[in-house]
Amino acid sequence: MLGSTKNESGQISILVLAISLALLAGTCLVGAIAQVVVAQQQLNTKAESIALAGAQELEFNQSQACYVAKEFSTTNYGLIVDCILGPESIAILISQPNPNRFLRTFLASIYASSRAGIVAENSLDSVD
Amino acid sequence: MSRDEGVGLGERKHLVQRTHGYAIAEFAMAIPAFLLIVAMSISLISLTVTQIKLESAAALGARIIGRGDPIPDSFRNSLPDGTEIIVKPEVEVVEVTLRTSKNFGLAIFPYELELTASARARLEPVFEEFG
Repeated sequence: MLGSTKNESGQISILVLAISLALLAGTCLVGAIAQVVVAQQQLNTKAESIALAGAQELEFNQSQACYVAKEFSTTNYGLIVDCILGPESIAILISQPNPNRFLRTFLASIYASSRAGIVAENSLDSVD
Repeated sequence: MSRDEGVGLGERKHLVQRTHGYAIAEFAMAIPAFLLIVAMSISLISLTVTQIKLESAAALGARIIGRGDPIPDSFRNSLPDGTEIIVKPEVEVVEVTLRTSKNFGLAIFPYELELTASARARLEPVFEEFG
């Protein structure tokens, strides 16, 4: 076109800068979410091991199951847990502060729960 | 094509500045930066997946040993290549630590990162079977 000689220099640079900044921010967000996901997984495994530790007492020493679970948690993980004792199972609820400072504003704490109990004999028949 | 007066040139001399195609050239220069950032994101996700696998495998390993069973070959085979298994028995608790290294960098800049996951399980009492 005559009379519309546009200078292309720098047009892409601005676009590239904007997209690069957006991608970098996205990468930082991915890293932050990854950190929280890993912490959640660690908390899940801790809750499972605490519930299993307490469940060992269910058969012969049921009243002490929650005590044992809490002691196991405090000794090994330094965490205080909530314990609900049922007739044949024990439930554990555990929480800890969000490890990522940025995401802590949206999600202050992460939670995990686990339940363990005595396996009923009829449920073992299906396994055999 | 635009004709701009060049710096330091005489009155009747003009520097011909060709601007056509700058966009393509700049875009070509920007592609490696894009690819680098995308590769970093993919590596980060890959690291996270490996770490989560290690965490769950460590918990499973601790549970197996806590029950008094030996670690089966299927468990070892499910771990990433070169994973080291460290079992640390204590009085009533067993701690299983899995350690592996993963290449985080690109082909030009290789960077080994060590990933570690550990889990604990209470040792279960073993009862002798009668009859």
